[in-house]
Amino acid sequence: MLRVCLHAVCRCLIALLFGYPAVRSTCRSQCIVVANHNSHLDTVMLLRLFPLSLINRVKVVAAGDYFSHGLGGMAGKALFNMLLLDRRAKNAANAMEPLHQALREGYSLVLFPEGTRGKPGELQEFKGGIGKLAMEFPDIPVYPVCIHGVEKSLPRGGIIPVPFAIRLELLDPVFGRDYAALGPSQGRKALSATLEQSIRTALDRNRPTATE
Amino acid sequence: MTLLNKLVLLVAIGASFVLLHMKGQTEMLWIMAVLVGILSLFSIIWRVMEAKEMAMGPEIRDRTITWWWMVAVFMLALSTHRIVSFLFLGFLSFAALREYYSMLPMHEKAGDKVLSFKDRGAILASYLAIPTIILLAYIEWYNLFIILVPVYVFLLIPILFILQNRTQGCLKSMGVIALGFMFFVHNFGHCLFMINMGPIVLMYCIALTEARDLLSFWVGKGLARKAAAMPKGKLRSFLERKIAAEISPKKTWAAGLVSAVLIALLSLVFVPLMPDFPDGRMSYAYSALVGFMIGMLGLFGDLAFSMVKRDIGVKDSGSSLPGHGGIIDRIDSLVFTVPIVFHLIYWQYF
Repeated sequence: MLRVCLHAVCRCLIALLFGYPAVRSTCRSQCIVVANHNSHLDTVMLLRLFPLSLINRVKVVAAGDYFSHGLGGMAGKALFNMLLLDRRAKNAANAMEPLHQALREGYSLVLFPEGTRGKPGELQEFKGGIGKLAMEFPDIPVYPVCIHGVEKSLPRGGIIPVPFAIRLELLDPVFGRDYAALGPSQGRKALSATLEQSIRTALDRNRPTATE
Repeated sequence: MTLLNKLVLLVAIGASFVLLHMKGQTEMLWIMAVLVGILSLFSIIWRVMEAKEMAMGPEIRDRTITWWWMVAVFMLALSTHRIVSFLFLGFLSFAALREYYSMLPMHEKAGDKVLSFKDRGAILASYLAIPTIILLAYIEWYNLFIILVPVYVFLLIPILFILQNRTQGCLKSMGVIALGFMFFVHNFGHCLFMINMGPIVLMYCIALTEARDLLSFWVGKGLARKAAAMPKGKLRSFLERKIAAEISPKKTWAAGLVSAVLIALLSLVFVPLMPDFPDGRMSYAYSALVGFMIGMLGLFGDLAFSMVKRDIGVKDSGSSLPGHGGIIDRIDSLVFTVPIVFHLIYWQYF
């Protein structure tokens, strides 16, 4: 309950500073949200996609080496259900187990397949884990989301968030079941590539073209 | 538009009517009643247009519905309490400035892009000028209000750049950032000081500016049709003379001038409603002059932001207002008219 109130306050502040999002509270059933990652603000922005009542049914996948301690860890624990992922794990299957567990329990997931905050406005190659996850839960929709403008507000290395208009673009969902015919390893790669391409296209479409 | 939306809208408009009545601001009540009347008329017009399946129907519908909301919010902000009016207009200035900075492309190395990531500090500083301006206008410290942005904030930006030890792209960044806060904090911020003259003065300026935007569109259309039907000659070539064809292919000098004259005439309606200024009441002749200025300046305000948008290659400045584009698309003319109207009245009557 406390967390819901905290989120409500956060949402008002964010709406004032970064604009009122056009897409909000659209994810009402279990889903996986994947997005481009440029900033710490991304997570807070992405939670706008879930109605306030479901905020405790969402888990945010975060880097274990970064968020297990310190200020980031504390803020994360206060605001989100964090699912710490060991980025340096030798055995990928073991590292992914908590995610499977969460999906089985009916949680929605928010994750960043790039695995890190990249260069502002540039999408890096997706890690393979998302494809595997979607194939193993073929009926849970995976929503690619493109976040615009967040890299200006609080880029990597920035301290103070500066107000800029931040927009979320909810793209067409991808289902693991549509890739089952390709076999597990091909399907995984194809699904991951589809998600990546979808976000990349949305990013490129929104670059203003300066007249020479 | 859902039933709940309609209800909220009605409550907002009703509440501002009641509040204005309680405060005894009869003049504002009149203006508001007229606005609501015009909006109701347009609500009927779009329904008729949709029934007849005319091409412009949906556009007029979206625009009218957004207008309803804008009028409701604006009225509520002006009728509740002085502080609310100030905070609302301050927020509008912030939202416009944010939209301006957001539409400019930003890049790691300021080469071909307009802004660089190092500009974030200076941009934050220009946002912080807004609460300061709100405060100064609220306590009516005119002298500091008028120089704060063009002198202090203006000099703060190069100082911040020096502290960042920059050379690359600093000239471009300084220019673009300064343009932003001069337009949206300083010029638009005069709205705030206008409240001190009386909310009616602000209403006068905003209503006439927005009326010009709407009028010029129809006047432009009508004159273009008239000119097309004329035989070739001096009059026709005058009617078809473009102001700046590259920026806006349709805007003509003739339509601009006719709209300005119409606005000058329309401004006379407000004269009896105007408050008593320290140096007397506003005269009809002076109001006509101010109205004509609003007509001409609004035209250039409109074109100025079309020019900027063309340069960076965006069509609308944002998408926060359905049917209108962004906030800048709505207040671009005000950036030009508000400071001039303020000073014309200030010199003459204060």
